[in-house]
Amino acid sequence: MAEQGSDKVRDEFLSESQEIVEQLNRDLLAIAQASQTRDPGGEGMRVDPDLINSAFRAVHSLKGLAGLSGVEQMMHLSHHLENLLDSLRLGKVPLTPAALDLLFEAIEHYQLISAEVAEHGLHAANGPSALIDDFVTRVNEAAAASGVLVKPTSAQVQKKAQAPVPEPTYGDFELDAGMVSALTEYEEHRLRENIRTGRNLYRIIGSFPLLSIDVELENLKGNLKPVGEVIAIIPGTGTSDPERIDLEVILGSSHSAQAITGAIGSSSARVIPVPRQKAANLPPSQVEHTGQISIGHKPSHATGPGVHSHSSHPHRDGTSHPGPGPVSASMAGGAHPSSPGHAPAPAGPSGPGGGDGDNDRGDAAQTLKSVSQTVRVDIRKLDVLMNIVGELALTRSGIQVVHDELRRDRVRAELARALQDELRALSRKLDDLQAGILSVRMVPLSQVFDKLSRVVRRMSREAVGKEIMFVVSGGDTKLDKLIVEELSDPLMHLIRNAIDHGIEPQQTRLSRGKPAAGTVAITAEQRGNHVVIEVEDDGNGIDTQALVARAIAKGQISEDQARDMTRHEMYELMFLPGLSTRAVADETSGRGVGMDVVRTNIARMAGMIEIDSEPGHGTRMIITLPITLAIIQALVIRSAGRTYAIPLNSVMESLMLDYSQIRTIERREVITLRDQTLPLVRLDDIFGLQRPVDMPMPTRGYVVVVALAQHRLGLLVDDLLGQQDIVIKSLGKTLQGIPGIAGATELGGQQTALVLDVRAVAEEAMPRITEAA
Amino acid sequence: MPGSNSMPAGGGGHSRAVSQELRLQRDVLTFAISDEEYAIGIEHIREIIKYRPITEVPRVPAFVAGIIAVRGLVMPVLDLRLRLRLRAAPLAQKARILVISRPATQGDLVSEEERERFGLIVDRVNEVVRIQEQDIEQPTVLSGHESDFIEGIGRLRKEEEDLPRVPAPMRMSPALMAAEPQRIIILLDLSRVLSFEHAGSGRNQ
Repeated sequence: MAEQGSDKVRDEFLSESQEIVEQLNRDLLAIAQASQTRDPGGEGMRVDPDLINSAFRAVHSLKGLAGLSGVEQMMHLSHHLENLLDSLRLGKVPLTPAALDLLFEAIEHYQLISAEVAEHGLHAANGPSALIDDFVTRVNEAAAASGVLVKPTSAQVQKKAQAPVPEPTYGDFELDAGMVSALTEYEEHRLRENIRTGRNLYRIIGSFPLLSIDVELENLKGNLKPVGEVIAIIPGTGTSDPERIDLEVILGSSHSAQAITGAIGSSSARVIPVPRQKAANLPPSQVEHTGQISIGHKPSHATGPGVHSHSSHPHRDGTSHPGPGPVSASMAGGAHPSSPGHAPAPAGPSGPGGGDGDNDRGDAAQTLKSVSQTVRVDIRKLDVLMNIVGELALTRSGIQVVHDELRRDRVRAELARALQDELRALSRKLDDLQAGILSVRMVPLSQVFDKLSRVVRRMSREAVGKEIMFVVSGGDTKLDKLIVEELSDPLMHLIRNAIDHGIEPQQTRLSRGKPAAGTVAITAEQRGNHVVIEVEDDGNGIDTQALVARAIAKGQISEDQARDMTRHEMYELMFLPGLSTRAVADETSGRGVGMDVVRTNIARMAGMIEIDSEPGHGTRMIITLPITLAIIQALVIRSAGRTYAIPLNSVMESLMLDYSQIRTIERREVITLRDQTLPLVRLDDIFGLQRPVDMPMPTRGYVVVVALAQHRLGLLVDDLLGQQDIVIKSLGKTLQGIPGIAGATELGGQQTALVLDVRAVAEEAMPRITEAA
Repeated sequence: MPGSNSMPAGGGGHSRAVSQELRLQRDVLTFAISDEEYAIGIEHIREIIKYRPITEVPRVPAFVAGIIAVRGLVMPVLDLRLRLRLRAAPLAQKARILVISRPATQGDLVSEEERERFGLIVDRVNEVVRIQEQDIEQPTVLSGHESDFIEGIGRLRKEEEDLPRVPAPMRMSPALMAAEPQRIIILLDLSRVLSFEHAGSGRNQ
């Protein structure tokens, strides 16, 4: 029992930490993307402070979670990462590509720890780990910005790595010293950043009812976001009403006071521009906006030049900031805010004015909110719900029968009509319910794409002599959770192939007139009930000759066969077990897993994979998947008196056939369809179905054409009953695995039908056919 | 884990006591196949449903009649007559399908609700009776094929028909007692009845 309890704790820890690590990964990717759009030179990259904050919160949550679950290594790691991220968001350490790499590396450490915990329990990741200690050392060096982080190759780099010391000046703004003293270190940093970028400062003073303050404050923040940056929220002073609380928002914005008032909307908050001193040495752009209303705050002694020197000449005046940690450097009393060597006053969480505490509360509220709005649901519970919906649909058809009975009774016709209306309404609601449950199962593909981006980032760093540009689109395309889970391995394999076998070394590319950086693109798109995912590279293309040579060498095809092969048939060789066009697998190429496994995995999700390649220009892998496995469209057929459902995604077409058209080649039945020979398989033969004695052999029937790789096959059946949306159910432990049967489904009216596993049926029939052909 | 094992130990002791108690007498559901009376412990019975069309499944042993769906749950249905290697016969008029759950094996932690369900086709369902453990004979007295699936042979003594489920007037009737000789009930070993392989076995999972 105790074991079970800790298992549960472990599972919860794993799923929760996984979620947070994924969020962290997304944040880092967004940061990386944002940093790419700017000049990567200069003194570090500039990105949306919200992103760094979000990453900081993620690591902070991981630390808390790890502490709660007793996973020491993760706690240790998070603690030090938190310091680094704190330094980054405070601008103490510039965001360099090296720092970003370090953060990405952290994700891998998180995953190693999770894997360890998943395998050996919560306590597995306790005790010291050389790997993590080494990493933590590097993180700390980066956080301290001692220059080790950036390889000291040049003096300039050295200089960049030095943390610019925050300026204790606020341009020409007349800021209230009391207000400034209430700011956290981070808020101060953002305040200076806003001033530096030439924005105006506004104070927005509002009074909020205590009961609804969170909602109203969130609304206000949401309204303000488009017009500027909320630098800080500090408690106001003149609270007269015990039911209300006054808050002051410090906003940095390049908009006018009127525009901001407009953005706030109906709220009763007042917008007051922070007045500026008239200073001659300000750039005109800033002078234009100087204060309209003077409120008589005690002017600070800040002057302009210090601000403008901030970016170009980092101060090295020996001001030492407190080391990393939850210490806030506040202006002590604000008496000498312009003094460059001011002594930072350490402030704990309950620091002066509650500024720090406020900030913490804000973070906590945000985290809590996101947690309370999502519910983790076991997908099996959704299956149960889906079952109930199916039951309801059956009950509905039961009522329909009663209705039909009722309608025959002339006296009750009125009642029957009313019942019919109700039944229609019920049907609609049932459809909505089903769609609703399905939508819960849907998750965006970005869950997989984000993981891939990270791995590609690492692989392209490791791939010698290659530069890779990874382009992702369509990450918001949604697919069944079960499918998305299963996709990461096959996609990873395809991308590895593209980087390893597809993209040429830079020299080769340049000599071929291609850009030095190879592009690997992954795109997703919904088409009807399917999602198409394409993995494309602009590399070498597939060397069909080498492929064919290897297939011959391995005895998988004969030379005669090879001569007659079309290019597409040659590509199909890729899916034969054990065929790789490269003799030696190197670091990045997958070992032991071939394209055959990729195809099998995709087929298991009722999907298909095709290859298209242009020699010398690149390769494209096209994966087609159903949106969900929970409900599929099926063709319902009869054979020898039995009903079967054939998943529609494996059916190419179906046609009526007079049996006199059947020909035989070496006793195998075939027909000619559009000038091509189509081998036939009788479903009743392959399943050994006895035809009831009173059922004569039919003289005509239907051919359901299904595809397996480059082969097509016609299933001969007696009758087509129509298309239907079906829910596939397992036959249970005892009967599962019957070759050719994928499951069962209820068709209504207590009728149950088996669902064909077309791939297995075709594979079983194919050897005979390929022999014959 | 010393200190944390009080629960399992206590639980184990308790269930041993219960099973010993159960050993003394057993409640079983009796049913007929041809003219023989069989029984299964009532703890395995989930429900009894009327015979309904069964969907045939290819590539399984003949005694697997097919599958049915009961309240959304798909389960295999065994033709018990064929399973017990009795001679095939047309479907009886009062045929029923017993929905049962696979008995728990040792160390099996799957809850009753989650255990695999099966349907068993029987000719007729009789009643629930209580049998004294001392009245159950080992199947070794038999040597036929059938004995593979037999856990024991229960003898029902007349006074033991003294169960609330038997209508009171019948219970008291001396005529009935005289007319009915000692009843022999064949107790089935459900685990063995349900254990079999098919073409796809071994590919499982």
